[in-house]
Amino acid sequence: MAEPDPTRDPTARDSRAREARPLWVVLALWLTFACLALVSANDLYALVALDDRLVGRRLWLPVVAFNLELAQQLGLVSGKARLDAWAEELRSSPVVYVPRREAVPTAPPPPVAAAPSPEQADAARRLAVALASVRVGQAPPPEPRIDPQANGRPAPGRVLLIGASSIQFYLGAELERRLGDFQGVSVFRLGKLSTGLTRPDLFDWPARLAALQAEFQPDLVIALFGGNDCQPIQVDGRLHDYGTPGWRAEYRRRLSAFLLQMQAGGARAVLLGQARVRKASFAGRLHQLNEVLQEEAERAGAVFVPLWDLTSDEHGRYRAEIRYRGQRGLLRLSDGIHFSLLGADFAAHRLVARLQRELNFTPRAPELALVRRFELDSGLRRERTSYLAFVPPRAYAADVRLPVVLLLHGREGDWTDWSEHAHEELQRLSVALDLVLVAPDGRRRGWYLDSEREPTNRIEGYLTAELLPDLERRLPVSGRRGLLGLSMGGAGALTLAARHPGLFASASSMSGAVDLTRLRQRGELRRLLGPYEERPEAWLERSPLHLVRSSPERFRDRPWLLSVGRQDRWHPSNEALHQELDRQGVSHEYLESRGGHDWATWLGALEAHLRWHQRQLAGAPSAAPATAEAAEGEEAPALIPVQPPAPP
Amino acid sequence: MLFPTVPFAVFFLVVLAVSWAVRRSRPAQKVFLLAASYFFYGWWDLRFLGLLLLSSLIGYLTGEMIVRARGRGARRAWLLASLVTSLAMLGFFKYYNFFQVNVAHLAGLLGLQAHLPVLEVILPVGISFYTFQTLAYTIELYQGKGVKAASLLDHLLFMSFFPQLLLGPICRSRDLLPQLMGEAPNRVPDLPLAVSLIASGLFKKVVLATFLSTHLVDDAFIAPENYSAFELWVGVYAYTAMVYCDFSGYTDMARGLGLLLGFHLPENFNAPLAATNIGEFWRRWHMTYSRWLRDFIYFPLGGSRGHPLRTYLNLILTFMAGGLWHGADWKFITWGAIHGLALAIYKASLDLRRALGVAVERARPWWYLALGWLLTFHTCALARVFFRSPDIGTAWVYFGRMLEPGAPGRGLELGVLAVASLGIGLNFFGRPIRRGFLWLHTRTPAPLWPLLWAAVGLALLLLKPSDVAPYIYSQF
Repeated sequence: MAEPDPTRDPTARDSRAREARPLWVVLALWLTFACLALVSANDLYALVALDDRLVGRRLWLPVVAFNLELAQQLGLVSGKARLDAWAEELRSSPVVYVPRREAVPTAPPPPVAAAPSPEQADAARRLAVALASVRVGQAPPPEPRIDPQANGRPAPGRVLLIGASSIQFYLGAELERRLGDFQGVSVFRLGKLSTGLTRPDLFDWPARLAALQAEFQPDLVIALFGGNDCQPIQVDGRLHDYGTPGWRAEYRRRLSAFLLQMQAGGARAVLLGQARVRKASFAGRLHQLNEVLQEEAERAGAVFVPLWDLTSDEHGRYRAEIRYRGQRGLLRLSDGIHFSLLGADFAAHRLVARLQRELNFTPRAPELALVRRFELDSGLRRERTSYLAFVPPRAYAADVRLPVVLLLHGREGDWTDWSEHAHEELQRLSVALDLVLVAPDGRRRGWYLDSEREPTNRIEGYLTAELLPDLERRLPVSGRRGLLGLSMGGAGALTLAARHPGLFASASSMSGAVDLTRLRQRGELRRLLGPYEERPEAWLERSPLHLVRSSPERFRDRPWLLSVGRQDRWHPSNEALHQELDRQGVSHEYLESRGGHDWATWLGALEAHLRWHQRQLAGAPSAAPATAEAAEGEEAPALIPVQPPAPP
Repeated sequence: MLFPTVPFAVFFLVVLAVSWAVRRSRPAQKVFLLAASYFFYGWWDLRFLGLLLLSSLIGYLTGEMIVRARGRGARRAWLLASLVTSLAMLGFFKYYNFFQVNVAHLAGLLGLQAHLPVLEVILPVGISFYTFQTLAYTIELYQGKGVKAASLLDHLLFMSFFPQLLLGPICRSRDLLPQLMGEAPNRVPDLPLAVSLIASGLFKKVVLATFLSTHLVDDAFIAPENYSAFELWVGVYAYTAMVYCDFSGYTDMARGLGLLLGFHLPENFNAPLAATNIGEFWRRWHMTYSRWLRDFIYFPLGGSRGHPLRTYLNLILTFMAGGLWHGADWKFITWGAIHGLALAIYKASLDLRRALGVAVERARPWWYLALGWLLTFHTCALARVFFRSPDIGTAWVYFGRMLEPGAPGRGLELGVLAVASLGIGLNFFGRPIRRGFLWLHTRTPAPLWPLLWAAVGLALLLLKPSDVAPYIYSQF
């Protein structure tokens, strides 16, 4: 190391000899650049033509087009292509080390089609290795009486996670980590920066997907694409700028073909939506793209899982900050596009909750419940409905039937609400308290009632006569049932329990809308119940506060639980109901807390509510079986007698 | 604009031609270079320009006042003004959120609630580099060692000269200002060296670093639990090679571009991965930065003039601060502390051997140097796990998995081993290659230059992986 470094001393003796005339240097550099530009004319053209965010693109476009023309005339383009292929060969290196495996599942050899491109061969090589990384799932539990796989769909095992930079970096890694927390699931992730479906010249995803499928044989393919797709597209040498009709048609064609390809071999496909980005113009493009993604995914029978709402604030703007796991921090990296570490953790957590609603995953962690979505065609509502169940794995394994608590959502909500806000808490509490939790759909403004005026708004009948029998058929639930609702659902829980004493052994309300007469001006209730001035009895019958006054006997046989935040607009009504229950001698618990009409308050009260239900249901007799005959056809089977308590 | 991109190439071809064309009027040339530099920086984000201008003006004004001030007190006051404003700017843009999170955490431990807003601060590229440059300028003027800019124009250009603006080298006033204030050169000073620097920079950055980044390193550090112990060990070496190629590649390009424009920029890397002890490593790695730490943190802390224990503490503190310079995260502080500790241990061993009468300066046998190299190389390589991991928790997972034999992994490509070895090997045999190229270039007549350059350029284009990875140091 002692010898003098020629780069260090600019005044070295021979430096005079190394001086050069600026004119020559400039000319030589320009000439060099021109040569290289001509040789890589194709790449240069793509660089300008396919990037509509490039400054001065219009000026450059004819230049690079002319350059390409000239290179073609000189035969340089094909020559460069040959060189590139040769270089590709040189760059792709063999895998030298294959890690030790416990078990290597045998996959049939990929179908022998055309000779694979170097790119595909490269993918195949890497996959041969990845394939071996399948974690061997645990031994299957003894054949249960009730199928733990909802809707007869098998649990995903081999999950392929593909996409652009978000999948390559933190979000993809977090998703992979979390998906790996499910039993029997092995994940292969491939994220490639700056790729998508508009630029197969940079990275040919369909070809790569085919190679991945042949080797890895996924039964679930999850893709996150599109962030790099809002750019011009080239079809047969013609350029279509982003957003033009030609662009739309071609992009939809490619997307739908890709979605079908994802489902090859019976695999399920999930398309993740785009996240909101900071830059408004880019966000606008992505918002449009999301619509296309969702439409095409649904048309192709794939599941679309949005990411946009998780990355927007309550006003629909870019969400900069999150609070998650007791930490406050930025959701994204400083580019305003990619997720920060905390943000990726948060987004993956929410996305996996959403995926669990669609796919039959089984958590490895024994303290987490299985999440199952069922669909039910409602004759009364004349529509297909969904409900979500949280089931302790023990129920399937030991073949026991557990008490069930129905979770009723609030106004403007649906069956996904509880899972959106309390997914993991519900999973934990379900196992800890040995309860099956079911979140049914009560329509956004259904108010859990059967309307005489709107013939399809028959939520009460749906829950009691259609849902309960379906639950017993498809889930390991006993006849001991509780109702827990919030806001609109709180009113629903109390009213339904009072009107169906034989069906529900416990009912509790969070921030319940317990006095509908306060909403007498609200159009949707006037439509459902008729104007208050004309039919006050219909309103009073649906308001727990008034129901207690008029028929206290319906409440006396069971305990009740109310909770409300002191800042909640429903606080006075709940306090009034509490006093009324006292006056009527109904045993109940009433909890007040800090907080308002929001999920923070409800999450704070959730465990207390569910523990309370568990205590009530543990001692409660099994109610009448909710068979179709028991409840069918009754307008309001309010008078089903309570069965006498069974001797201990 | 980043160096190895087509827009930058076009930009540079134009700037080069115009800059030499107007060289007869030195002020015009400087104004043009200043405009070009601001255009270059504004390409990222126009708002950054205000910041760069503000930082330059602060440096210029306080420098001017320090030189003019009569009394020691006044000079001190102006120095303090410069330090406070520069550090406040850096602190806000770079450390605000770190501060906010940690204050909130601390307050939480004390049972308080801190209501500092989480601000979405966009980190302006290069701010760490040009803030250090401003600080060095005013501190050296205060110490009476620096060169004062003759005019505001000189100072603005000194602060913004685009080859070194984003990622250094961090220039001292004597490195660049005399060149700016002196006569315009009439010739490109050292063309073969310039070309060899640009070519080697491109090779290291575009070919080697990108390959390593996309083939193993990025993913292994994000999700180490997917990799086997062997792969993670290779990952550590590959990352070492990658940081070296990435950062020294950038510096090479910066120096080469500077030379083409007629300016000499200071050297920043001198085969650092060949160092046989940690002290030597820091004399060879990111040299302008380590000299900055030495002159402006270590010496003011007392350097090695006090008690030996105080010296060791000074080393550790200096490098912890140096770690923090890389980013607002405990992982960088940990990385710095490891280096400070290693230096302190090395210094202590020197002191001990001197006290025992061992001649520490004598030549060492090869096996001694080899052992020293192994130890130094691994200290630096393993400390980088903290540097690269998304957070300290993941770094521990990485270390844990490195010691867990038999865990399944993803397999390893021969290319990763080969490219990592090449990147590290350049520290040992890079110099003869460069000398060979210089020899060849000096003997190539001017009309054949384009042929030689285009051949090199084509080779680089062919070797370049199709993916592009961002510069590691542009985040700092």
